[in-house]
Parts: sequence; C-alpha cells; structure tokens
Amino acid sequence: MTDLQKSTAEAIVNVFETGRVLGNYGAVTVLKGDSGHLTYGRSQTTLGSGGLFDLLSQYCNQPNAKFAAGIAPFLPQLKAKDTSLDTDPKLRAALLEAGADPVMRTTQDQFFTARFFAPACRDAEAVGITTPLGQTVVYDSHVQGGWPKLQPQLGPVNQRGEQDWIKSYVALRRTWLQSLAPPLPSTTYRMDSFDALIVQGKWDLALPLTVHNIAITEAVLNGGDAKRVLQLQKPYLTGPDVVAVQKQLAAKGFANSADGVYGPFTAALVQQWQTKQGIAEDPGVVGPKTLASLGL
Amino acid sequence: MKPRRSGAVRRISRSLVLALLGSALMPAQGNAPNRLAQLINARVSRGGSFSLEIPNGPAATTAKTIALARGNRSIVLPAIYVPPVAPSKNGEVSAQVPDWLPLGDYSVLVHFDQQDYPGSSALSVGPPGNPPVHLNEFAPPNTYDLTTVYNPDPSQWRAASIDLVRLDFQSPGIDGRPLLLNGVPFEPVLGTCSALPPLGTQTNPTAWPEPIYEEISGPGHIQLCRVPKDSVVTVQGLSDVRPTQVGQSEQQWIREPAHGQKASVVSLTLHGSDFQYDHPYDNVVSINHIRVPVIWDSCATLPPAGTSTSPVASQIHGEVISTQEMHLCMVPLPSDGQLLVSVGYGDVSSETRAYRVFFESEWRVAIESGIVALILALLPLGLLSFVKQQYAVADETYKLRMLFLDPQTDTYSLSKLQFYLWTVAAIFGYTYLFVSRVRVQFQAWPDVSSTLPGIIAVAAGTAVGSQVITSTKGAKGAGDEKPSFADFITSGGVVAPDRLQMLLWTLFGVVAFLEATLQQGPGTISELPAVPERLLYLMGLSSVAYLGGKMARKAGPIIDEISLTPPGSDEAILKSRDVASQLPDFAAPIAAAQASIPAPNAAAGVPAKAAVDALSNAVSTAGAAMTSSDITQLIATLGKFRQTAEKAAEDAASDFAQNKASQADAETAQGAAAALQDFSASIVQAISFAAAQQMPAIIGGLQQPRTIEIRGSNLATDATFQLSDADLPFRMLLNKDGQNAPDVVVRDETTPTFAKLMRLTIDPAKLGDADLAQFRNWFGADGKLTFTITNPDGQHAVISFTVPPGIGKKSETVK
Repeated sequence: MTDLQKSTAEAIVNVFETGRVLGNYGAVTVLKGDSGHLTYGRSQTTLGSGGLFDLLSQYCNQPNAKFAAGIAPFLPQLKAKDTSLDTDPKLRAALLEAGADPVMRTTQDQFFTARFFAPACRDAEAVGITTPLGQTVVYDSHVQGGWPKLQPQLGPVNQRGEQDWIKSYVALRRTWLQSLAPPLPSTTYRMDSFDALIVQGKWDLALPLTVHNIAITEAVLNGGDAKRVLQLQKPYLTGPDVVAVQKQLAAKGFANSADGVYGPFTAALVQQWQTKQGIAEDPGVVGPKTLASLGL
Repeated sequence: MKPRRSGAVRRISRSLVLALLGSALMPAQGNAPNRLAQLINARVSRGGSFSLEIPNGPAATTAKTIALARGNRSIVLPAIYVPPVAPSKNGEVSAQVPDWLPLGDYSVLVHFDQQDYPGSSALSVGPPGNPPVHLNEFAPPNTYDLTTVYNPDPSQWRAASIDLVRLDFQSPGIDGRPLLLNGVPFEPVLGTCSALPPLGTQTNPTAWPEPIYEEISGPGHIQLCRVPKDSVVTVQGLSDVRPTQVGQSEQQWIREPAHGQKASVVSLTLHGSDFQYDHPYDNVVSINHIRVPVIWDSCATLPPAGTSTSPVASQIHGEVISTQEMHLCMVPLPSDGQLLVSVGYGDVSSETRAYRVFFESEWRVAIESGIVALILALLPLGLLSFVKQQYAVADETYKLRMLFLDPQTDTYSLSKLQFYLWTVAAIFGYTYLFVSRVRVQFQAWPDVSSTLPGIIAVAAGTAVGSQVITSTKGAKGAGDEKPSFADFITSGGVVAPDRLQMLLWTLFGVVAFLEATLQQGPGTISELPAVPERLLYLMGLSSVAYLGGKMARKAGPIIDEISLTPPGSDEAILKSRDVASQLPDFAAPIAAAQASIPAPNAAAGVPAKAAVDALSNAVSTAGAAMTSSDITQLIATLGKFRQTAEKAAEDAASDFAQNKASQADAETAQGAAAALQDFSASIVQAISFAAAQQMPAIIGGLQQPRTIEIRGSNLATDATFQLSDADLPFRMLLNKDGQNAPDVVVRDETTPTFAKLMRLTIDPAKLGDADLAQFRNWFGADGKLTFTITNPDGQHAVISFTVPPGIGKKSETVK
C-alpha cells in the first residue's frame, strides 16, 4: 500500500469515525464502562484502556508540543486511570486546543497507526488480503472492533478469492452490527460505503472517492499543507489559508466577512477577482497564480 | 343323514328270541323239576370252555345246549355232555365261550332235551385272569381346556326326507353276533318289519335318529329294516356275509336339526390298570354313575364340532393307548364341571374318581387377577388425575410418577417402590386366590396366608422408618436433576450397597411370590403360598440394613432453588441496557449548530432562506432523535438537508454573481451550508463514539460480576461445584472477605459444615484468560446452565436454570 493509499484508507475511516476526511484530532468525549471514560483523538483512545496516557505521554515528550505544559500535570492521574478526569474542565480544554497542534496531529497519526493501522495490515496480509480496499475494510474492523470475532466465520480467503471474501465479510459485518445493541446498528453506514466502493471497483483506492457523501481527494488529503490549492469541494475547505484569501479579496474590494469557508460564495468572489485580473487559472480555484495576484 | 347307534355290543337278544320261538333249544317249562347245575369253573375267558356238573344227569341226551343270559338277553351255545360214570351219578356238560361274547356275568341254563338245569351261580366271562380294573388318576388331574360343540336342538327342526331300506342277512353263524353300522357296533330294536310304527310324514316327521329294527326270521337268518340307504351294515367276524336289499326303499320324513345348541366337551386321559386294549369295546365307561356309550376309534381324528346352523350330535370317542392309559374325548361337560369317572369291563368296575373341569383357564384367572390388581393399583393414580396440579422437575411434569417421587429430593424412593410392589403383589395374589376359590372352585371367600401380612408389615415399616430417618437425620443427596431409575440404588448419585441389596431382595421376593402363586392352578389353589419364614426374616434384615445404611450415611445436598444475578446473559444485558443511555450525545453538536444559525432576518433571498431552513431543520431533527431507529435514519436525513443547503448556497452564490442576490444572502447561505456540513460530521462522530462505547463489551464481554445463590439443605461448605459440566473452581470465586471461596449466608444450625444458603460470586475482572473464556462460555449468551454441587462424600445435587431468567427451582407444583 502506497502512502497515498494509506492516507486514503485512514481518511475513509476518519469519515466513518468523525465525519471528516482528516478526522477530528481534538475530539473529546466521555465513554461509559471500565475501559472507556475520557476519550480523545482522531480514532479515540480512552482513559480506561490506558491508551490516553500513552498518547499524551508521547505528545508531551515532543519538543515542539505547544500544549504539553497544560497536559503534562495530568499524566500521573492519566496513568492511574483516575476517572475524575472525565469531568476535569482544564484537561478537556487543553485537549481541545492541542487538537489543532500539528505536533499533536503527527503524534496521533503515529500513535493510531501503531495501534490500529499496522496491526490491521499485518492481520490482513496474514489471511491473504492484499488489496488496499480489502485492507481498509480490515483496518475499519480494527478501529471499530470485531475482526477476531467475525474473520474466523468465513473460512480461508483463498478458497473464494479476496474480492468475494471481502464482499461476504462486509455483509457478515453488517448483519452482526444490526444484531447489536443501539447505536451500533446505525453504524452500518460504514458497510454501505464499503459496498459502494466495491461496486465502483475501487480496490486500489484510486482518488477521488466519495465516502458517506464526503469527497476524498488528494487535495483534501493534503489539507494540512499550507500551500494547498483552494477550490470548491464538499465539505467546504476551511482554515486559515481560506481566511487569508478572503481578507485579501475584501481588501481588493470584494466584500466578505472572512468566515474561513471556501464555499460557493467565496469561490464566486475568487472567480470575479480572476476575471477582473485576467488570471489564467481554473475559475474559482486558488492556485499559485491567484495566490500571487492576491499578494499571498 | 345317517343314524348313529350307541351302546356296546349286545348281540345276544336274537338268541333269546329264538328261544322264545320254541325251538329245540328252548328249555322245557314244567316238564321236569329244575335242578341246579354246578358250575365247575365260574370264571372263563373268551374262547375258553366252561363246565357244569349235572346232578343225576341222564345217560344220554339227544340235544344239549347251554343258554347264557345277561339281563333279558341270552345266547344258546352248543354243549358237549359226558354222562355219569359210576359210581358217580353226575354228568358233566361243557361249552366254549364265543370269542365275540361281550364280557360280563351270565346266568347259565343247561337244557337237556326236555329238562332244564339252571346254573348254581353266574358264569363270569372276562379277560384272562379276570383282573380287577383300577382308575388311578387323570393326567392332567383337571383341565381348563374346553371345546365348544353344537349339538342338535330338539326344539328347532325342519322336515327332511331320507330313504330307508330293508336288508336280509343269511348265514349259519350270524346268530348272536354283533352288527356293525358303518364299522361301528350298533344294537337294533327287535321287531317285525311288517308291523313297525308308521313312517313320519312331511307334516309330521319323526324324531331322529330312528331305530333300526331287527326281525329274526329263523336260525341264521335276520332282516334289518329301516336302515338308512347307503349305510354299510356288516356282521362282526363274518366279513364275507353281505346283505341283500328286500323290496323298494321307503321315504322317511324326519326332524332334521335346524339349530345347534352350544355345549362344551372336554378330553381326558385316564391312567390305571387292566384297561381292555385288545378289545376296546369291552371297556365300560361310566360318567357320573351312568354308563355312557363310547365309540372306540381315535381321539386324533374327530368328527366336526358342528356349527349353530349345522349341528352335529356329539358322541364320546375313546382310544385305548395301553392297558394303563386311555383317552376319552368329546365328553359332555355337566354344568357343575365335575366328571365322576369309572372304567371297567363287563360287571367289573374301577373305583370312581372325580375329574375337575374349570370353566376359566389358569391364564384367564391370572389375567383377571392382574387386571383387578392393576385397577386397584391405578386407583390412586386415577384419583390423582382429578388433581389439576402436577409436579414439575426441571421443566418435566410428573403426575402419575408423583407416587414414587420423594418430594424432598425429587428422586425415586426405594422404600415407596418396595411398599407399592409388595402391595400390588399381595393384591394380585389375593385376587387370584379369590377368583380361583369363588369363581372356579365355587368355594367360600378365602383367607389370606399368615405370612403375607408380615411382608406388608416389613414393607410398610421400611417406608415409615425411611421417612422417620429422613426427617431426623436429613435426606439423601438429590443426585441428578431429573429423577431416574438409578435413584433406587444411589444416594446423591453414589451407588449405595444397602439400597442395591434391598432392591434385589424386594424384586426377588415379589417375583418369587407371584411365581409361587401362579404355580397353583385356579382349580386347586386353596390358599396363597406362604413365604418361607427364613426368607421373611431375611427380608426384614434387608430392610434393617437399608435403614441402617440410611442412618449411617451423611445427608446429601439438596438444592431447592438457584438464582443468578444479574439474571441475563452478557449479550442480553448489552441489548437491554437503557436505550437512551446508549444513544449518542448530540448536545454539543446541536449547541454548536444552533449558534451557527443566522438570525431570522439575516437571509432575504429564497436560496439563503432555504439554506438556513435546512440547517435549522437538521438541528431540530437531530434534537428529536430518541431511538436507535431515529439515529439510523438521521444520518440519511442529514445528508439530504446538507445537499439542500449546499444547493441553496450554490444558488445564492450564482445569484450574487448575477447581482440578483446580496453579499449577505450568499454569505449566509454559504455559512449555513458549511455549518450543516460540520453538524453532519459532528453527528457522525457522536454516533461513532457512542458505538465505540458498546464495542469493548461486545468484543471483550461485560466485566459484570456474577453471583450464583443456592438455597437448599446439606450444602457442604467444602463442596465442589460444576457449571454445565465444567468445573467451577474455588479460584474463580470471590467471597465478601476477598477469599477464593463461597459465602455461607445461612449455616445449618445442627450441622455447621452444611449451609442452607450459599453464595458464589465470580468477578470476570479477576479471572485469568482460561477462566475468563469459561466465564464467557457460561454467561456470554442466553442458554441453559446446569449447576452441580458435590459434597465431600460424593453425594451430589444438580439443578438447571436458564439465562434469563436466571432462576431454577428443584421442583414445583404446576397446573
């Protein structure tokens, strides 16, 4: 699996978990149960499992971690799985802020890769699943859970071929989720999305993809890159780069409130600017020429 | 239709007639004073000679005969006379007894010319040696085997015609010889063929069979009239003598039987001595002091028994097997079933012996007794059927078997079995005796044997003693959950030798008693077999050993009730959790989205309003999602709202580009669409997080401690436990003191090592991998579990329960 395919696979599961292609690195919630309690991050690691302590320890050990000072005092309690942290407002606030820290994002990516993605790939290859889509299905089963329970029920992959096996596995998983307590039956949208990708033959996860009505493009995957190309897509691109473009447009006489959303209105403003300036670039797409014309 | 002639051979009548006709053989009447002739040998056999001494006998005679008379019949034999030889004055006359002469005592009359000399005593004609005849026994001594025959009913007849002929016999040696009709001796009626009673007519038919008449035409010449046509009549010993038919046949109307009377006949075998083997017809059979005619042929081939519409007149048939054995068959049965039989020959008769015929066979009496015993035994069961309640053990209902169940342990009770078996056996035996004596033997109500009450007393005493011991010392272990026949020999699932020996002795005693009872036929049984005293003593010892074993053995565990807390499986608990608590928490996304909704007057254009409305509606819809179904539909619904908002934003932007819409509208629409996109993502995340909350328990199982509480008696505190055939070791238990042991909640006051209420707690969080896997196997999914407690002495108790509801009861009364 290439790096892009890996990113795509992670993006697919991010959409399933957070509704966002790049995930919600600052998501903080509280899960019930001994292994739950305070839960944090793009793929949710919990206080009860001890994973939250591991993640935050790694983050605090990073030299450029902006919010390490606010989080580090809680590490002893995190290690002790102190459930009083579930409602600690200081920790919650620190975690929310840290979610925007690129260091936290990198730390989470590494952490969740080691915890979910790498074991998933190993398990997939162990049973003979080699296609990126197939491995993504296995990865999703590791993140949400259930792979060890369901995989043995279908027999060897090589008996029926990988694609057929993956189809059957997705169907089995759908049935299983539907049999579980709420709200697990409502997460069968994951299986709907996989079925759609299977029908489209997206076994190699070639971009662009649409998962659960959310488009995954290479540009989206590069969302963290400051020099990304801004264009109209769904969900709308947001971020400081969008705000910067909007402010420059406003300064050039194209009034807007700089809401940071690269939606149809912003794209229309960009297109008007391009037309006015005669910029030879795709209409409504903020590429290098447009950025340069705006002084960015 | 052919007539049958009964009676033995008595062919001397014709000679008597000849004498009466005044022939030369006829003794003179009154010509000379009768003088007695002295029989020199009073006993003689057929073919032998006998002599008489004639006092002052004549010097010579021209004609001399000796007439032998028996009853009113006589036969005249040619005689040889030896005149007196001086100095004796007595002559001697002798004759030879014909070899066909019927046996018996004959009066003798010597006739010389015109003088008669009556014999001084009777001449006895018998077999060689004239032995006495003895009837020793019948084999078998009685019978239950009756054969049904249909004899003609004289009251129901129809007119039928037969042809009769007149036969003429002429032969010098014919006089006095027996005649055979179709090979069977018969005795015609003397008469004159021309002066016979009138023939029957169609309107006035005669009874049947009609006699055959014999007319003595002269020496060596007889005629038989009214002989059924086609009958074969021969003269015994003169097989070459053939009759000739005289004249035309006559038509005789007779009363042909139209209906048969049902009657019973039996066969019997007589054992004795000196039965007449060479000449079976010499045998004389008397039944109930009446001499009966017997057709001596064979019992192997008998005439048909007849039917109700085609009756056959039954006749006794006989067969002499040897001088010691004789068969009689088709013997009519008197109403009292008793045949007084004697056998003999001539005037010699054996002793009379009774032969008993029983109208009910041995098996019939046995079956009747069995049915009566069964009915009596089932009577309590029948009474139970009126009880609507049943006894339920482990989901299996017991109604009739309640009688054998010990309610304390839900096991089959050996003492009850013993008591019931002996009671039923006694009822059967006494019923057998009663039926035999009253209905077969027509005797009075019989008494019971002296030992039977002893046996019942032993059985009853055992049952009572067993109950007393159970009440004072405690019951045996319940053993397996459902009663089984193994309970009879086990105590708490462990084989108990004292129970085994008592079961064996009980079964042996009952079977032996029944066997001994049935060995006595219904015709001869007079009382129930007495149980040998030492056997009775042995059975008493057996019961003592049983009760002693019960005393010596420790009480065994009994589980009355078991309960599991929580009562449901992990799977069920997960599913049954409060749905509301499982639903995703949308509060934060909703709050954020509500904050993003522009003010009502912020959007003037239609697209902008549409975008805002879509956002507003999406938030409202999410806020109203209360069920799992709502959540599932919410994702799709939000997708539609989002598409609506995105389309509105595009329209507003397009209008803005064409100066149809204001910047505010376009920006508001874009903002609403973006907010809706964020809201949708947050909702998905909330759902995903909520799902993640469930998954660890689903995958790894609930970390829910389980408590098994057992209530009962004799629950050893150091017992071992099993759950569904898998060990539940102490290391999996955790009591309130933190020890790996059960909690004794209520201890037995009399036996401190026993508990009445025991609690077993298992905390999955404290289990190792193997034990945890077993824990999941027990409580992971709904199903049935079987709990076993085994006391140190090996006695155990088993109870099952289902999860849910996690409650099991030893037994209960159900309707």
